[in-house]
Amino acid sequence: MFSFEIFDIKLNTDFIGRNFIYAEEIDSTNSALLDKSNNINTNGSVFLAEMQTAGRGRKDRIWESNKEQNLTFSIMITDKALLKKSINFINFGAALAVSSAIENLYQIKTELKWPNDVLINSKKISGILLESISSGNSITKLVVGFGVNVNQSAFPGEYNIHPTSLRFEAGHEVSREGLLAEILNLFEEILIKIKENPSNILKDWKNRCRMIGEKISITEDNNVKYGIFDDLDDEGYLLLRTKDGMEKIHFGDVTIS
Amino acid sequence: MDFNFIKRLVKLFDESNITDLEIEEAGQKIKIAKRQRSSYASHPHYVSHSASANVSAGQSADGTKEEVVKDSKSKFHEIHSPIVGTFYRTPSPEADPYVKIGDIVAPGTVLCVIEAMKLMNEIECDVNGKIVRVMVDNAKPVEYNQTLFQIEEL
Repeated sequence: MFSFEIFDIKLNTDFIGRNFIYAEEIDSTNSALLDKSNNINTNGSVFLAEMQTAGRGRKDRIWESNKEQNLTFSIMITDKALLKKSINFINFGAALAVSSAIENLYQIKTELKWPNDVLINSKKISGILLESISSGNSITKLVVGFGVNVNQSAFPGEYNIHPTSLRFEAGHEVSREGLLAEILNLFEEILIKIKENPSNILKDWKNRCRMIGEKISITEDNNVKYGIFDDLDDEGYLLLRTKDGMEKIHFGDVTIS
Repeated sequence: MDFNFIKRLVKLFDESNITDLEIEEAGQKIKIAKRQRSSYASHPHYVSHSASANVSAGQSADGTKEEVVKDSKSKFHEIHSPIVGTFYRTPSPEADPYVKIGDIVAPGTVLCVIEAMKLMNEIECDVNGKIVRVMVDNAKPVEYNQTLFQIEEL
């Protein structure tokens, strides 16, 4: 059972998590925040669920997570000034928050996979999916959904990237409350940085990505592209150097080849 | 050549369907030509959808296509992409499109999804109206601020 007392002591934010919604079970925390009938519009609202029955990743891939062992939560952003900046920076910032929280709390080295997977020893510890709604021409609401493998001890089944948990990597169970509070604390700091100077986020992200300069393949449906991960452009898109020149990649599954 | 004659000639030429005119009189030659407009060629997405779109009233068979585009831009409400990404008209590959040409839409009606870097952005309509044009093919890349839909406000 998640302890709100422990979480609250460690939470040191102004707006993220100050409106906190908890559910034993929900279809998806992203969907719950975006569902208009729930009428959740407060900037920084956090929805934490012990169990998602329809947790998902990109391309409707399922995000599996054992009940009460991990962290599955979403953060709502409705701050117009922030949404006007490139949302890509929020995407990178979310991965940076998870990565930094793990390194700060457990001194475990993490690495980032474009755009926002967090890995430990090439295994996936966290996945992030953003969903937004735009009305007409401007984005009005953004939810950042996080899945972090915390205390799960077995991962049966087949995965795109092999998963791991902090329990595996640290060798002991860890406090979900402490980890969630640290992620939220860091994410709020990052959002403030994005408002001030988003280019710093790209720099921080690149420092934690070991794929830059490597030969990679990018898979999207049945289409595979090969090349060198040259750099990120100013907006965070992946620049793939191929024999035909430089190509800007908007999405796809990146693997070192 | 008389200046008034040339003026009248230009006026007549302008009102006609003629694109090139050359007259020679007493050793003097005058050549008038209309510049070919090629806006269709430079907007491949527009071309691919123009066949199924409702053409605005008043377009003549040889009507200047650029003017049609301008006219429709001023007449219809446009939905632009807020991000760079890939345009999806359907929630999943097998599903029906969110909206089709001729559909009546209202504020809050989901029109499409744009995907970029693990962000799925659902675009909702912000006016009451009817879908007149879908400017981009399903699963094609879109640029920031690219027009996605034209909606006739009702």
